Amino acid sequence: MNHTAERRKVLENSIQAVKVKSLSQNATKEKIREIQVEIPGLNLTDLEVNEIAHNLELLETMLKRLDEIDVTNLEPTVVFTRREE
Amino acid sequence: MMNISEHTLATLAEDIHSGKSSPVSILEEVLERIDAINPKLNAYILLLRDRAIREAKEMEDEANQGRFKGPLHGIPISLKDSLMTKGIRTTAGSKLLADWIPDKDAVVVEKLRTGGAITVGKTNLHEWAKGSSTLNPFFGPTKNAWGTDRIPGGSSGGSAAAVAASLCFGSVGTDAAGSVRMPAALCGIVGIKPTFGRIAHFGVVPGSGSWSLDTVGLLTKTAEDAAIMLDALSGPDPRDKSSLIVPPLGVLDLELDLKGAKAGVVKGPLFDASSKEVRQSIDIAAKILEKLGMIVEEVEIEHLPYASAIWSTISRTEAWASHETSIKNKPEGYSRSILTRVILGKYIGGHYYLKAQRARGLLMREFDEAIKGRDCLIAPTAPIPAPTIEEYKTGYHNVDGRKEEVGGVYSFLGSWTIPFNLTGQPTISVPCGFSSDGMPLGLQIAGKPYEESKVLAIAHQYEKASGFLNKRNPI
Repeated sequence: MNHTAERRKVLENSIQAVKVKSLSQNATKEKIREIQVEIPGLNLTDLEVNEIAHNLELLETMLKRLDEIDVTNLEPTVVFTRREE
Repeated sequence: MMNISEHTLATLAEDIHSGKSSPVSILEEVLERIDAINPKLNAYILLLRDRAIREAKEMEDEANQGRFKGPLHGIPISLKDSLMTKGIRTTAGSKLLADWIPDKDAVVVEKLRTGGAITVGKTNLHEWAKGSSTLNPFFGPTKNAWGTDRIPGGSSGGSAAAVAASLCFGSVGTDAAGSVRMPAALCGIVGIKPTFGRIAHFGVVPGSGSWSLDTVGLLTKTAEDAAIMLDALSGPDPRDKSSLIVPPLGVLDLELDLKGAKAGVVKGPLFDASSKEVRQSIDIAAKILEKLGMIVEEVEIEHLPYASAIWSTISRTEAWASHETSIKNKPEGYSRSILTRVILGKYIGGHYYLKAQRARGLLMREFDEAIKGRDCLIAPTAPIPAPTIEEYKTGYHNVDGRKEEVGGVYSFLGSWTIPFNLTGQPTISVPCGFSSDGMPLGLQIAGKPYEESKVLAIAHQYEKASGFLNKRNPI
């Protein structure tokens, strides 16, 4: 099992995650291309591209997890009034 | 003087006030210890030797005249390097700020000076306070005093290592996901994250920690020491509006009668996912609290397993908002590990940020319900003891043979501390035992908002009853 596949398996078995939602390869490539255009000089290595792809997958999983919570009758928490410095 | 490593902040304060010890002699011993031990631990990344000696002499002169600024008078302390110090380099653990010298002090730095504390130096942290290892690529890795092959935790890992090794007698850190409590647990010391707003946040480097989650916290050897520091540093400041809405701290009574007090021990899937030794240590802690006369009952919090997703959505969005411009202009100023994580915030979107803040309200409500009619909640501080540096670098944690992600988006190591950043309630971590390979474990005691006094009293009495503080690290 390669490193990326192993990490995915770890995530699927994690307490933190629900079933991993895959991003299509095209969607991932498009996002990584967008990052490289926005941040010139980034020069991502193959390993870093894989890391970002893995993190994007984690992100999708996280947002999916958030979608499971019914927030219909909840107001946003506005208890914190700290000002920006 | 007896071996300085046997002392606590409280015993040193007593000796200074009674004239048994002097600020200069204490500082000399601490500096000697730093010279011998810091090369092994890399707890400090900036030592303020000359300034500390000057301050100690001033405090000694005042003490000789019978004048004391307070309980911190002449006590050597350290500061996480994400706290601004006027005229002194402040890096936030970042290459971007490697040469930055602020023109103002953080509120806590002002208060420490007013209180007579001696700032010995600035401690290492995870880059931008965004991680749990303190394996800092620019200032070197900090190591754990209980085993130098282990991480000290993070992000206030330098502060935790410094206190654990008696290289200072209290440190000020920050905590947006457990950055005070988790390294405290992994290093066998005490870490308190007070109620959000209890300690004014002004002067914490913007972009370190997290805007709506970060709290200034304290790392000490004992709960009593934490109470002394909290008393000196809490209070409102007009430069931090959130500090203005917090009621006064009130009297800290560590000997509060706990007979009949109630604790809820948080169980459920997150507890089941923690290592066996961690689970056992919490069950033993519950029994010790019962021996103190407390009533301990199990509680479950329905949406607790969602805390990481809620926290991560909020935290990543706020991180991208803080760092977008710098990352676009100077990507070389960031380590790739931070950059590839911070950049994720770009893809979250406003509606998800809002959704997470709404879900946070749900979690707060459930925690309020769980603590209703009780005095505290107890839980592990970390689901595993300190992993080795090598293990951390693999990207996984080993939990009784099961693997968990180190923290690309989720933070398994912070999974027990994160919920209390979402709720903002006061939470302390105290040592509660050791793993089979001798690494410290931590117990969190969380109180109702603004009830630091009760949290500290329970922690103090638990500490005395458990006896775990008597075991010394090999450093």
